[in-house]
Amino acid sequence: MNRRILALFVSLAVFSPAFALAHEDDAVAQAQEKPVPARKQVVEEKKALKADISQKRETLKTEIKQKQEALKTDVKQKREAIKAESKTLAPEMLKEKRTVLREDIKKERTELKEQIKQKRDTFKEGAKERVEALKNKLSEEKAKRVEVFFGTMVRKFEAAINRLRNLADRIDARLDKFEDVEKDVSASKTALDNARMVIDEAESSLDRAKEEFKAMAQNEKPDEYFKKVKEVVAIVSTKTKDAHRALIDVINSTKGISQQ
Amino acid sequence: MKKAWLSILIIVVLAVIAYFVYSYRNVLIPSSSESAINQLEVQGNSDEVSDIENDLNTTFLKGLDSEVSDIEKEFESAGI
Repeated sequence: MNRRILALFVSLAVFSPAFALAHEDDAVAQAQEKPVPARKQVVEEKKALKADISQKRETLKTEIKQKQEALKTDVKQKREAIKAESKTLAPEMLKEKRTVLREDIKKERTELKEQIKQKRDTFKEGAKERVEALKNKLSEEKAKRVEVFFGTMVRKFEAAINRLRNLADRIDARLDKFEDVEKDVSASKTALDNARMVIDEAESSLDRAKEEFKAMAQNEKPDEYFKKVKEVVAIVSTKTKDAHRALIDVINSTKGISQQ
Repeated sequence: MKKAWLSILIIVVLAVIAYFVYSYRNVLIPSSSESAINQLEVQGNSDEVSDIENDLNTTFLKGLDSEVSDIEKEFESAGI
């Protein structure tokens, strides 16, 4: 009895890959039996989907850039207007105006963050497509590993940029409190705006790195094209460190304000 | 007979382990990168100058691009 079970077990172990292959062959045969127009339709749908993702990403990028620019100008103008009115306005009114402005800025920044998140997600959605393109030049395993390595690096940069944005918001909140007790924060606010600009530049460079990585996956010589990706990644790294340094400068300048 | 069963059991266990190791190798992420991400994601909410300064000082940005060399190694070993 035991021998029979043993024989059955060994037979299963030996023949299971053959069964799997047979099943695969069936699947291939079934796929081949499919009418040609249906396959064409699938290819076209895939193409349309890719174009849609690309379009979505481009639109989001443009919208984010425009919003960032508009927000920067808007904040500057409104701050200057409040500053000009501060001499004539009653303290209560001044405080109210500042609160309204801060709420507006906060709302716009939250919307921007949401759009940035959406844009980042569209890159993640393209992972399968990039692996498909790259596996024609490397093995599938290697293509997957390259994608995972790049994806992990992107996540690190995104986490760093998020952290810096959060720190900038916290510094902003502190400066608002100083402003409420009539301390002069104009220099620190300008320095903070500049630091935010460098953070935005880091994010834009990261976008470029992602685009170059996508182009690399489709290039005939990905190893050579990767040099371009590497150059842009070095810029992202520098910009992220610059933004960090800029925030340290702002926080150091606030120490002087607190001692006023 | 018992020995035969034991051998089969060992082979099956080794095969299962090999399968999982092989599958996992495809998506292997260095633990240092994961811990760097976790570290960057954790920070306080306080707007006290000293707290902000502390979080700025514990913002470690070295090695963010360390995967570049991993990717280069993949290309080198592929020999394309």
